Amino acid sequence: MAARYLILEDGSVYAGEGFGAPAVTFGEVVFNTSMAGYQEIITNPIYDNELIVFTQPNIGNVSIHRNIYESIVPAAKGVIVRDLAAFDDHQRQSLAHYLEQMNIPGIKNVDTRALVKKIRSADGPIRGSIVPVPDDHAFDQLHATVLTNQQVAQVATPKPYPNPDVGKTVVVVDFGLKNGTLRELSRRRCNVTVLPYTSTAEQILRLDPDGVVFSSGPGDPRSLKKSVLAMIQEVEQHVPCLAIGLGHELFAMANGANVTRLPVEHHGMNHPIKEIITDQIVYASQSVGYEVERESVDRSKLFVTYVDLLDNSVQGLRHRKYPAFSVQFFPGGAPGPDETDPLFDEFMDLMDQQRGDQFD
Amino acid sequence: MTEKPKALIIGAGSDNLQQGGELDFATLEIGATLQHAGYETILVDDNPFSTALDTSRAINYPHVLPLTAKSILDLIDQYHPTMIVPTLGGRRAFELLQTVSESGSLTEHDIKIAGVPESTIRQVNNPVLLNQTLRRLKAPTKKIATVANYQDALEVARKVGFPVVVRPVLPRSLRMRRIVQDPDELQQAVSRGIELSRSGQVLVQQSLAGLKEIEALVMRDASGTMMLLGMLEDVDPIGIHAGDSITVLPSQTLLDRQVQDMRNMAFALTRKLRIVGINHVQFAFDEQQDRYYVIKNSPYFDRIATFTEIATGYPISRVVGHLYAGELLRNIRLDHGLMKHTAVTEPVMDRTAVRLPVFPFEQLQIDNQKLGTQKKSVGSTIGIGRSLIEALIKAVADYQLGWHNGQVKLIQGISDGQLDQLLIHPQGDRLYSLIEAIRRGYSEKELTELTKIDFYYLAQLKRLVAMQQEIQKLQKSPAVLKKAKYWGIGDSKVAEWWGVDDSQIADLRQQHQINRTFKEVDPSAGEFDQHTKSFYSTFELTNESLPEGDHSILVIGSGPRRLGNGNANDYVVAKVMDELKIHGYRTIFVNDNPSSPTMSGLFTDKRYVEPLVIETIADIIRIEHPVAVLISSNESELLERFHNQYGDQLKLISLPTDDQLEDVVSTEPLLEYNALFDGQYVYPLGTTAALQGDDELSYRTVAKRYPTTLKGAAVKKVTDLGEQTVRGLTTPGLYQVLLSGDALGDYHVEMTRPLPATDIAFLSKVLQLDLPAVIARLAINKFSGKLLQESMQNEPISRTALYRAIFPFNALQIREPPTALKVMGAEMQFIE
Repeated sequence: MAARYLILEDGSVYAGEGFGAPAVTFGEVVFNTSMAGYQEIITNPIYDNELIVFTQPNIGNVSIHRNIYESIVPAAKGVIVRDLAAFDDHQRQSLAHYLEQMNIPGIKNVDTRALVKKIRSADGPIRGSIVPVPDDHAFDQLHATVLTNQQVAQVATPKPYPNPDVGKTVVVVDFGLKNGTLRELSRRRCNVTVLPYTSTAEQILRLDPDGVVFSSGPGDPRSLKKSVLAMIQEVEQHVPCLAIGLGHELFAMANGANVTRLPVEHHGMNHPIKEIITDQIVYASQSVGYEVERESVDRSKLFVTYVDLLDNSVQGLRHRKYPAFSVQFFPGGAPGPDETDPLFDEFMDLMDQQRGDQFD
Repeated sequence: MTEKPKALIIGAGSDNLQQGGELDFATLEIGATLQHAGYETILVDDNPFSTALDTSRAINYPHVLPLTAKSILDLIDQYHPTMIVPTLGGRRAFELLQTVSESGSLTEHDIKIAGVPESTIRQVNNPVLLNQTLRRLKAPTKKIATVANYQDALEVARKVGFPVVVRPVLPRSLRMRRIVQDPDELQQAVSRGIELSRSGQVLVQQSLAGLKEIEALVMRDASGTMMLLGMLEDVDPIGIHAGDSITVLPSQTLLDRQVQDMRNMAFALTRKLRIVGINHVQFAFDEQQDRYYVIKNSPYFDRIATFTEIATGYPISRVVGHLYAGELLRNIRLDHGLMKHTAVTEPVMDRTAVRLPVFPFEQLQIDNQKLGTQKKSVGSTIGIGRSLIEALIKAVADYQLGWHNGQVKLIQGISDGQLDQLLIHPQGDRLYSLIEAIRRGYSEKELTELTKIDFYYLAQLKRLVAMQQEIQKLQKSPAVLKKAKYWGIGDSKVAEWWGVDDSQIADLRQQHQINRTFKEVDPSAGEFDQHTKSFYSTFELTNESLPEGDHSILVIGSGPRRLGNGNANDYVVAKVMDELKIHGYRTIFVNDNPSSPTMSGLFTDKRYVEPLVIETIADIIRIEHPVAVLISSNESELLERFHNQYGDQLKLISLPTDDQLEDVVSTEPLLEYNALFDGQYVYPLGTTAALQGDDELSYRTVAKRYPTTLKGAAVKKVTDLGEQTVRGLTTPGLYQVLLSGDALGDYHVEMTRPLPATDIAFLSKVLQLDLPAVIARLAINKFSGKLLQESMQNEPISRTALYRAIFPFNALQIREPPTALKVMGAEMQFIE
């Protein structure tokens, strides 16, 4: 394909070659340091409005597999790689072909390391655009582009849908759910109903769930309506809750904490995360753009359960009074380590105990 | 003052086909780390080429002793160590430690075993025990049975189905592993295996040949924290020894799910074996069935550990040193360039690293060059690049088999039928067979079936072939040149395809600003501002390598291990750099050997992990402006090109070359008079005597003793003749005069040559003199004869030392005369 350029709002230009969809695209440029799992990453709705830079230089090596999507329609705005494994193995769809079908532009042969260093040393989020010609017009367009802050609305389900099974009844509130969460619940035979994030506490509790999951999702938790926080404040009082990613940030806010934007987003799976109570270190898939301010956590309501050792950021919270807890990272991997999968078992245990208590 | 705790390290012994400089590298790093942590270190080894034995910054008490339980027990009595380290001496150290442990000495003296509990050592030493553990963990393993005769073996083989693999239980020195297809082959293998077994038993196993080989490297600390250091993938399938396989880091053809499954299993195993430090777990992965088998578990240092360290920038050996000193991963503080918690952050890469084995087929007459379950390669190169192709080409660049040498021509001339055979039964040059097959239009699908190599790699080679065709078609196109460089293709290759001089390519590159850029090997893929001062090159936007300073010397390493000087070259290079640093020089080092002590930060201020080709070195010189360039012995061709290009502008220092490493065989007693000549005076370094070979008919310089058994007048005759010969030379340096004695008691000069690296290493240990330091001092005009004489007089040598070279012939199952050009390693011993 023809020459394409990644341009950044600070005026820098990275030459490359296009693949995937030949469209012009805009978004915040973030990098992911995972060394495997590009398909799961690209299809995670958390990348809505974002151009993903893969630091692992060879991408596309295993084509596209039918059973590891993290969403049906990927929300990422673009894919930036050093080397694309351009081949057709006659069995599976190639990454390039998939992106083309999904209307996602890609750019390859980019000095992704130079790009990562640029993103890392910028003062804040950096926006970019993949364009055919890096001229003034392209830059004007980039500067004029206003990225929506309605990301959750873009990716979350507008309608409820069931994922039936025979076990515990669980409501998943969808803020931009990735399939991995449903997979973990299915593995535990949960009878799941996925509800839109706009659902009220009453609508949720009317389903009489054993527990509620507040899903991960893209964007700024502060841009969501306050009613979401009210919903969480109500639900957590009644049933066990597990909150993940964006859900974790909202859970923290619902319980009085502040959330701030990180100057550099972190996407990867190699940071040491300490579980405070056991003093154990685990690794997990992380996609963090916002963090819960540690100082703002109301210790009378919440306590910190996990911290990232590299930046000391809050990675997990638990409610002192209610059977509710949250994690910033993604248990269940996809992609990423499985070490924190037992958090879903813990959620199951909480649901067991809660039912027991009610019958007592 | 209280006495410091002591750590006793069991050395690796002579370099051999299975191990080499990687253990020396790790010993240096761990020794130095333990010293920093307040330990005194003791190393027992009988390897004259060991750098660690002669590096006081890593080892306080070096002991040249035979690697036996007795030596270890004696040292325990002498030093009362608090810790014994068995993970730096390969499998043998585990076996030795088990014997030592069974003697009760460790319990008696309350000595802790670093890295592994005793029960784990027993399991690693005994596959049957290890298999029980694996079964308890529900780890999928191949079917395996221990038998003591052919009938039982046949029964097992029929049950699991041919082919099966036969191995001796508790093998004697020689390892054997054979894959057999039918009862006849089985019978042969079983009887040979029983012969080689100390218990008279063999293991018969299900064959996993053809599956994908995956290697996981795991780190664990005493608190149970576990991290994945690397998931590596062999391009070659199971059936080809992992050490002979082309290895890629990180794995390229696995789904995340598969990576995680094997990671979990490697963690479970490491936890179960209660390992503190590293564990290398090998898997066979069956892609069709989406199922893996655990095939090997090695909780000790090996080639994969050092390769991973160099490729990721994560300082594995140093971290393990901290763990042995009792620290936890989360508390380890590494050097200035690395951040606070790097030790506990899993390394990630924004580069690809390829480990390419180097085979001795040009040096040895090996009829069967087919790759199999027994290792045949003697060394390896590392290529780091920003794409798989670039990494692969860079690994190949310094490999002796060029793309267009005789071997390639040969492959181009064979029939399709013969080519099929080469694809099914690959040899050391399989990359060229694959490339030739692609040229002939074999599809990736066909090739996958023939070779069991993953589609992805074949597709990459196909891109390369297309690239070559494009380069050949578009002669002298700057755009194509730019693309070729981006893919890692060397100037000389493009020049060859365009039929022009290398210099024209260099000019064209300069004209069009096609510039090499260097990137740092950092363990966080650029996420954090971390520095390891290890660099590799590529052709991208930004360069990260800044000049090291105005007092630097660029040292060009000796490349992959080859037969001849073996690791003795690395010994000399490492020690020369050590001395240069003492004199205030910054040492900048270029090498592409992932198994070499020279890569240690103890000797180098900055490293370029690059093939030893002139275009790269020229670019490094352009950045660094060193005051001198030091070229090691293996690279005589490079040296010549250097002289042509830089002769006038740059000071060139060359180390002894192995061109002079002729084999001298004599029916008369052979003597070697060794001396240092500073241009004015001759300083005798003593005379060694060649020992008789096994045939007892000839003397060869591959086995020798120090001093000779000469008496009286003969001593004077020899030294006078030697001294006279050396005095007649013009260039200062270390020299060796070979003399043969006749029946009349007269001596004749056979040849005079620079002292070979093997002898530099040996004599340094015998005389307790730092001879590489002498080389360094001569080179920088800091040599003082007075100092040398003083240090020689301080410690008169009263012991006799024996040196015996080791050859790879047994391991390769060939018979050849043991000549100096085929030395793989050596053993030494002091006798009273």
